[in-house]
Amino acid sequence: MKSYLKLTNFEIDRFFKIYLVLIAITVTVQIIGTIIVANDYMNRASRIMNEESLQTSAFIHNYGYFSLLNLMDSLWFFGPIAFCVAGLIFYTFFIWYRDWYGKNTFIYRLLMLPTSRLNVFFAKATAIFLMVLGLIALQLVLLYIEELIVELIVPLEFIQFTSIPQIMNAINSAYVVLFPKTFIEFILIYGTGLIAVFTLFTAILLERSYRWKGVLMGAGYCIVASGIFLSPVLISELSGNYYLYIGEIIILEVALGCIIIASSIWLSRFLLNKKITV
Amino acid sequence: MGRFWKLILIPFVVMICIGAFYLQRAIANGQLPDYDWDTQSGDEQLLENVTIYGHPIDQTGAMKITKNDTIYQNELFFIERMNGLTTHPIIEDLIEDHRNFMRGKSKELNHFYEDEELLVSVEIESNRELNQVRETDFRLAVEVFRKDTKEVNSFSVNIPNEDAYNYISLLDIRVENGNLFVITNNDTMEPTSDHPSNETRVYRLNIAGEKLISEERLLSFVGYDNNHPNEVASLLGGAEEIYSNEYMAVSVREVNEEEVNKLIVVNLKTEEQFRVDLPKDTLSQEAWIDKQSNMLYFWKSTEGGLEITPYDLSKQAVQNTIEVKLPESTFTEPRSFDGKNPGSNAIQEPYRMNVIRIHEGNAYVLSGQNPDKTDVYLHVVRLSDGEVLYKGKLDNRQKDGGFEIYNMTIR
Repeated sequence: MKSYLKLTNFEIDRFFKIYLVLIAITVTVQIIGTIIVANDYMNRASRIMNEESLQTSAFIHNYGYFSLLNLMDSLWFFGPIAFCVAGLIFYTFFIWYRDWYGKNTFIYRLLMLPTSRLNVFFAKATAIFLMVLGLIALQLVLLYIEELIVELIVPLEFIQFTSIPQIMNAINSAYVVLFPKTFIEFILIYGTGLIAVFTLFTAILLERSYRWKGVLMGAGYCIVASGIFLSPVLISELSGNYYLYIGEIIILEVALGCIIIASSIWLSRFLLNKKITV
Repeated sequence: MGRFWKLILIPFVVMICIGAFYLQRAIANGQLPDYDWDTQSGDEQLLENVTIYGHPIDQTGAMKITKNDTIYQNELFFIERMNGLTTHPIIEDLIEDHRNFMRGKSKELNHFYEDEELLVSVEIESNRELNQVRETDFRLAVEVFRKDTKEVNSFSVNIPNEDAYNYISLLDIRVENGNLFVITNNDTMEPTSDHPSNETRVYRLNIAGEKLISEERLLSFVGYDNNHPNEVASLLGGAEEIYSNEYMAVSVREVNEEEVNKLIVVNLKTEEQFRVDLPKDTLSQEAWIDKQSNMLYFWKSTEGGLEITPYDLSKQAVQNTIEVKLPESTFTEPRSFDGKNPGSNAIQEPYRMNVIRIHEGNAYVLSGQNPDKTDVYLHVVRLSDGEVLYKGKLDNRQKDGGFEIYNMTIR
């Protein structure tokens, strides 16, 4: 256990500088974006209301309220999130390959540690997962700060939703995945993310074990795992026969997810112990 | 320990932020207002079956109001939220009572029939070739649940002459003397022709023999050409129950016209049909067919409320109109903000919204204004004599509350 925690801390340490850069970019761009988007709206409001001599309610009726959703539709908000997502996906690969291709083949030392090799695998997965959750937490805090900034710039009568729960209820786009509506959905969605991380790690280890042949095996493993995971939904959609109720599909998905995680761990353990080459 | 601060800090921050976020959401959703009926006169028992659908003004997502409960889509557990709030309560009951039978079935009332002995469902199955619009190989897939033996029989029959049809949709099903009647609308448009036409057919199936006995064309509509007007037919609503009705009514009007040209009633028992002989402006009113009393009800909004014209299908005779007095409406024409030019600055004033359902010989009239925070009234009127059996309202002026209505179901 202790070596697992040490390894996890070590992995976080190695990425922490880049992680801080991601945080800084997100905070700066989003806050600048909030100020710009809110000011744009107010500039437009005052111009149109003067030119067309409209009252506040008429302006709102014709041109819409302001809410954080305006900001969330803009690149100012979406851009840094996409950047962080891309960064973390890249790091999912980099976290392994740097140990082979970095200065003095570091994986050699990692695998020689007097502890189960699977701990290296778990430590890397935990580090990735914690950093994802950390960015989500940061984004949630940022939402509250952005709402405060909006209320400083835009008068209350122009704002449609003044509380974060209202805004979250109003979200109906891809952000539902980022900010699931209930805690159970949060666990299910980010649990799916964890399955994806384990599956990718296994694919990377297959590649590291069998090199070029391993690339095919890794890709095959990813396809099979996603096929199995999506099978309840795919079978329903393709056959047009919705035999299972939604609740039953969820239970089945959770079970399939557990099976995929277990098989990924088992296969990775086998590869790390028997097949991995440095 | 100092070495591990990052490993401690990140999970700590994550738990606090995400925990607080979901806690705040749960609390906020728990504070959404509840609406209770304020009964002004009559029997509250009549409210038991009433569900009102709408959406909150200051929130997103749907909501529904029953006698004892106000349910917001956003506060539901997500499986229920994914199912939505629009499933008809009768279907919800069927799913609860016959979970396995209802698997994979449509959620439309007209696909089901139920009496003391049987629960029957019919789906129209077909194939569509890749890269083709046209459906082929139409079949009626029937499932019969016998309540005494708890046995489920399924069978499917091919629709005869199915090459002639482009598309088949189900209108209604009914069971009589061990025979299942399936009423469909068959689209016979040739893909290359500009002459769309369709026909209403009835398929008679023997349940015990699991086969098709006969089929017949009830009505047919020829689409636009030089000799025929471009008519569309629509089945008259009222399918709030899933037991048999003796009559089916179809209103026919020209495409893009409001006025109904004719209203054709088919007696499904005798398969005779007749035209309802009433002035066009009565025919063009909204209408419901009541399956229990075999009556047709036309209704229109008047200044004082609502005027209902009953029409007895068995006697083919119109009866005395019933006036329902509704609370005064503040309905006004669109106006503009500066009072001068009602051009682009005009905003739509609230309009009176009436939702009417017929159930067990009573008319349930829901009235209110959209999109305005005014009270919503429910009147239950006995259609035989016009007596108001229930009158009540929902207080829709609450602070941080208010909703728009858009539908009502009576179980």
